[in-house]
Amino acid sequence: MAGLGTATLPSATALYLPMIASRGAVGVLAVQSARPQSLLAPEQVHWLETCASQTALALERAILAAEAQHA
Amino acid sequence: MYIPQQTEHARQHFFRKSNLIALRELALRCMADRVDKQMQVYCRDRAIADTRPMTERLLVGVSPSPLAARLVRAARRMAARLRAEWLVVYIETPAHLRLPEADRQRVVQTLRLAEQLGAETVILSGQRVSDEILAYARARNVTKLVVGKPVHPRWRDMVFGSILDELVRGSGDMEIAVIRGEPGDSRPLSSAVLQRTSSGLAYGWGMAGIALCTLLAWLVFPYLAEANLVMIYLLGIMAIAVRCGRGPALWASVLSVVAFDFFFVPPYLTLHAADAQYLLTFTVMLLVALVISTLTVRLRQQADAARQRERRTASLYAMSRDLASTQGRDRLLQIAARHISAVFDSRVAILLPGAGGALQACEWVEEEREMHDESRVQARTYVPVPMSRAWPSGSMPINRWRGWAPPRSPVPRPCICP
Repeated sequence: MAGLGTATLPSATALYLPMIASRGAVGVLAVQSARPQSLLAPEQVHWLETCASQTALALERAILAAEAQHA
Repeated sequence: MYIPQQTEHARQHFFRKSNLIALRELALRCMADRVDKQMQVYCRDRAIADTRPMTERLLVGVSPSPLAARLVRAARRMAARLRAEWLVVYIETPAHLRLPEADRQRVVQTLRLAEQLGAETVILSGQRVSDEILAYARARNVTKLVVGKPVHPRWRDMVFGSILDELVRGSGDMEIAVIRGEPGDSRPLSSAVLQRTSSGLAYGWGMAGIALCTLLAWLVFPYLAEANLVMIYLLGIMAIAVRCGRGPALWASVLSVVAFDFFFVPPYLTLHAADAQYLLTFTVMLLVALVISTLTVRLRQQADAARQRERRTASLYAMSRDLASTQGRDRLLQIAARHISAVFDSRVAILLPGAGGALQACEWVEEEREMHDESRVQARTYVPVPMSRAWPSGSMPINRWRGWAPPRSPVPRPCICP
């Protein structure tokens, strides 16, 4: 995690979460809210992490499917 | 590197025998760790079974206190020495909901730190911290509990009971290490700060509510006993607590006592009470009003929290369902961005690795378009916007991203890796 409210680049305006799937990171999710405080509530951050990992899994599936088609 | 004047100073103050011995000790310890690691790597490469299997399992109880991070680091060192698995547990009691935002944030940071340091982190919810920690420790066959030293005054232990004491008594076979920090105590160091959440208008409504109660009580005053007039006020306070929140309810509680005294206690229309017995009436009335308003407000807060959780969970379900039934990278990203931005009312972008390992960003911008049949129905679509042109390859590309404000300090803070 980086950006808003984290230890890395805390003055950025957006929150960046890694999207990690089984083969490693597949991308980065960036969220910018009009109300930054609401973004930083622990529950919200947990929720965002879950969303990021869900998306990562789906994305990995898509990548694997594409690889399988090419092969 | 020393300039000549500093050399003498350094020799006298830093390069003393005690410091040098301490440095030598540190160096040797590092070397021992390194040899140990080499041994492990050697064993693993040759598929030799570890001669010292992991037998210990540590459980660390953390609190929202700022010392918790220190506790986690200390526990990590301990776990490394014992070659033990370690778990970090936070107990979410009902008091957790009332903690200030900063404290709750700190809990998450502490748990994240623990995860980074290689711990398994768990958040449990329960009524009593000590019971939950012990039950979980038993369930996971923990051999050693690690908690922080208490820093609160002793009288609090006498009044509220000490979590540490209960842990020690209930721990049975487990060892307990009490190291610097604070025990798995859910009470924050800074006691919950009452933040002003209700507007001035809500206080006005509180006042109006009590005025209404007074009017009602005035109407029935000839027919009812004084005790029943008090009931009218209590009813009013409950309604105000439900509608307006904590502050107005407390305000109304005080107002109701004053109004009752002024209008319905002889001598009428003064704040004096003829009979000293009324003091008891006032005190109890105030207490009951305070308790009712506090309980009602807490109930409302919990209901609000539950509703929010519910909403997030529902959106997560919806997102998983949609993601599972979709093919194609762009469609997937579109779905994810739509769901996330809907809950947060925010802008969402997803950055993907492009050719050559550089990140490429796609942002889904909500656009209003006219339908092709010119019926002027506004349809909202998410359009992937290639960001490459607005995103020059600088040292900090992420922050120059399409009008997203750059950070005030362009120099990244050094990331301290454990």
